[in-house]
Amino acid sequence: MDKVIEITNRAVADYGFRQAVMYGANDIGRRWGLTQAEQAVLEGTALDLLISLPVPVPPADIPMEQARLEAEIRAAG
Amino acid sequence: MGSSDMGLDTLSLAEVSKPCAKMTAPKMLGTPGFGKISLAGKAGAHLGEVMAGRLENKVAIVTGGGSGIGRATCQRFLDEGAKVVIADRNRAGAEATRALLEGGDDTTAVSVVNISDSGQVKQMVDETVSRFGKLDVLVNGAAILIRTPPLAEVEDIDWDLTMDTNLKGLFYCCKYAIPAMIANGAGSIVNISSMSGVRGVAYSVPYAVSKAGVIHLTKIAAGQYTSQGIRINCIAPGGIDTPQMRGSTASAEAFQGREGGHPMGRVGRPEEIANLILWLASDEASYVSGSTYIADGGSWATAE
Repeated sequence: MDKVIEITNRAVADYGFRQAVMYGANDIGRRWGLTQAEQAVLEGTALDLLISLPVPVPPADIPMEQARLEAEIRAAG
Repeated sequence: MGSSDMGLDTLSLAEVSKPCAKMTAPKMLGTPGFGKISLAGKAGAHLGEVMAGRLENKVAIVTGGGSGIGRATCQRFLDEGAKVVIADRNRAGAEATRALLEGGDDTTAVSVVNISDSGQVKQMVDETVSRFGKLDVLVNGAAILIRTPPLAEVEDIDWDLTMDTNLKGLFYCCKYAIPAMIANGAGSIVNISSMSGVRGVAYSVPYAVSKAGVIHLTKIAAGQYTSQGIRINCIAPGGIDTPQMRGSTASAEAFQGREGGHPMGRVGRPEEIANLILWLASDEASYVSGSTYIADGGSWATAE
């Protein structure tokens, strides 16, 4: 799940990239070379988490949010 | 006469001359100075008069119609009599726009499209012509903004994602819309660039480069298609209060700081850009093609 976590880490930190993931998860998965299992997590758990994030994530909260999403994604994977 | 009557000309002289720190936006600006005088030179026409139905019987596609400037444009177009295809990659956003417009099936449609996919763009144009009979106007508003480090550290993925949407996607939209407009005998394309494409910005190398490309594509395409009745123009907005801008600004405090540093004391509103788009899209701009209009509230002009 390292690639999915790399994607979500960037999506937490950058709203523009987050939009690219939320509305183009297929495309992002293809560009990252995700496996079917990773793609399923990206389009499931990861998208659900990203959609619920504030816009934008305050800079001070980014490490905390990244850690929270990583834990949930690893649990889902 | 609708809410669009509330143009700049509704400000009293006292209000205009007031040395205000923050210039407030009217609820809905008319297109100052242009939409107010009939083409026939109607006697008695004055700056408070607005022509309604400026896009009557026109069919328009607005990419990025799911939010921000695109959404405001869809609203203005529908108000002025157009049939509007709300195109966006974000289905929920596009459908929310359609719900806000309160247009029926005969006047609005949603197209969920990834504009970086040529097949999807062709399908969008084909379906528009099939459903509404023609295509008169294309507004290329879809774009993404990914912040990047300085050029030598920009990652390929950020470059590619940005270019694929902001430049290649816009290219595809023009590529497939132009033949439909030629078949229709005329058309107007309005490309949305950015001040970052004019002056460059440090916070996103690919975004600024892509938006500069949009300006250049506009000039080239206008040179090639104006003689066939297709007017192609560009707008370079400054900071506009859109979800994208708020999302790419680090915090509410940073956003307020940006407004405080602006000569008008505020950033622009999507409706203010939509008004310029409307004018360029309409027949009132019949002698305008190949131009780029800066709409930044005087920010660049007053920059040191």
